[in-house]
Amino acid sequence: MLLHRTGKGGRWRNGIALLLFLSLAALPRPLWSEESPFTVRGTVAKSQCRSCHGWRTPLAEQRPLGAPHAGLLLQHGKAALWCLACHIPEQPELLRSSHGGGLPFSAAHESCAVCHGRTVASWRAGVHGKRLLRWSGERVIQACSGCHTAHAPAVLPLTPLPPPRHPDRSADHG
Amino acid sequence: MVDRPRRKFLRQLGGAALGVGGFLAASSAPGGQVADVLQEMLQKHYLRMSPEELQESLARIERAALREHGAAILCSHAPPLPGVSFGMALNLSRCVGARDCVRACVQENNCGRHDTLENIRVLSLPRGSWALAEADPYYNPPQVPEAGRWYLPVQCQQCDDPPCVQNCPVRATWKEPDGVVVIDYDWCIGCRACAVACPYGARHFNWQKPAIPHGEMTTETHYLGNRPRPMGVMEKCTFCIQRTRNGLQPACLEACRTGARIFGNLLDPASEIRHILATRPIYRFKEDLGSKPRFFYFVDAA
Repeated sequence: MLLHRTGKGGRWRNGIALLLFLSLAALPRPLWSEESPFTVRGTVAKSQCRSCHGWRTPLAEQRPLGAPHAGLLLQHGKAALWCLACHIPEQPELLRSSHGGGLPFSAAHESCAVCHGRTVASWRAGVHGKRLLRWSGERVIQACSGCHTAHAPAVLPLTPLPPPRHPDRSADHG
Repeated sequence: MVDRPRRKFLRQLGGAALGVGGFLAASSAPGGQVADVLQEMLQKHYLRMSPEELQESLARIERAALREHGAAILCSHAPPLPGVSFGMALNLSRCVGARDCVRACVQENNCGRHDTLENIRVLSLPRGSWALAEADPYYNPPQVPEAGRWYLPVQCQQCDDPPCVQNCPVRATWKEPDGVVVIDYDWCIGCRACAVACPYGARHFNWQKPAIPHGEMTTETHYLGNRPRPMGVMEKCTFCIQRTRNGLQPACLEACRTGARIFGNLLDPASEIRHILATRPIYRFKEDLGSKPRFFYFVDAA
């Protein structure tokens, strides 16, 4: 009955309303539009690269790291990446950013974001990583390098702490 | 005429009575052990104590800790923060079952070390399965994570409709305005009805006086939180009330090496936890029971 009563104009209006509703629903909702400011803890203070690479340009080709780099394990991207993927050869204390400019180590996360954009976005939002000290007030968050070694970032298996004592196997009942 | 042994006995008896009387008089003086024990027995419920009575109670707790554990503690009764409702989220994609949270919790909350009492229990489950009957809390491989397993840390879920609170016959446990379910250890009669009611196994009974090694007592304590418990009372996770009401992160979160835990104010739309609730797939443990947990398990979006 109701459907019959709705004239052509009514249906048209309904269509417009439906379209409006759908377009509104399809708009991305700004859930973390205003990101809370934060301070990063645990970034690398400085590198030792400058002591040699201040005067000697690093080689562009990947090769096994030799004597001066002993102890430097490069295992990033399943060992497919070379130093210059992140480091700028002429400026050893700067890292590459997505737009090519140099980044200080204190903003290393911007460099990580060149490849790991989604992870860094979730880190900024406070999901990945860890907020240190306080749950309220000033946001102090752990830097990427606070947990991942930049040159070998994979998280290694951990040794678990001892299990709870099984009530049946407890020494008191023996 | 009184014979000599009897007179000697009477004299000794008199001396002993004098001695006991003197001891009682000394120790029942304000602040003495006997006075403290008596006053604790007559103490009112936490929520019914006047500010003065509460201060006396806190002082008694501090004296008892010094007497029984040799530790100089500070016991506070910091009230809930206005406009704050606590919640915790835990990323199941991140947890590897290393039990750092368990140890940090025991140390922060002054739990007995020689007991099976741990307020966090990490369950190991077969990958892709929620078969709780097969959950193993006693897993102990050389390294974690094990292939084919996933880990579910369980502690008090701070339910909004807590079955434990309903089941306490003496109202020794209740929900604070900031969402934390707490216990008045001095009001608890140790009947363990709450432990039976809790679907999460989150309440634990102190079968013995908590043994805390010398020098390992956390000295910043809260009446409803980590102050040393007597024998024969229940205890549970309080979201580290002694820390979180001062704005600090809970000890389990601080200790977690994989960053699986997120803590915050559910009433603050800008908080990390609200962002997670809005954007991630959320799972509430045994939600079908209707206890309304405020502990949210989530996974990294695929």
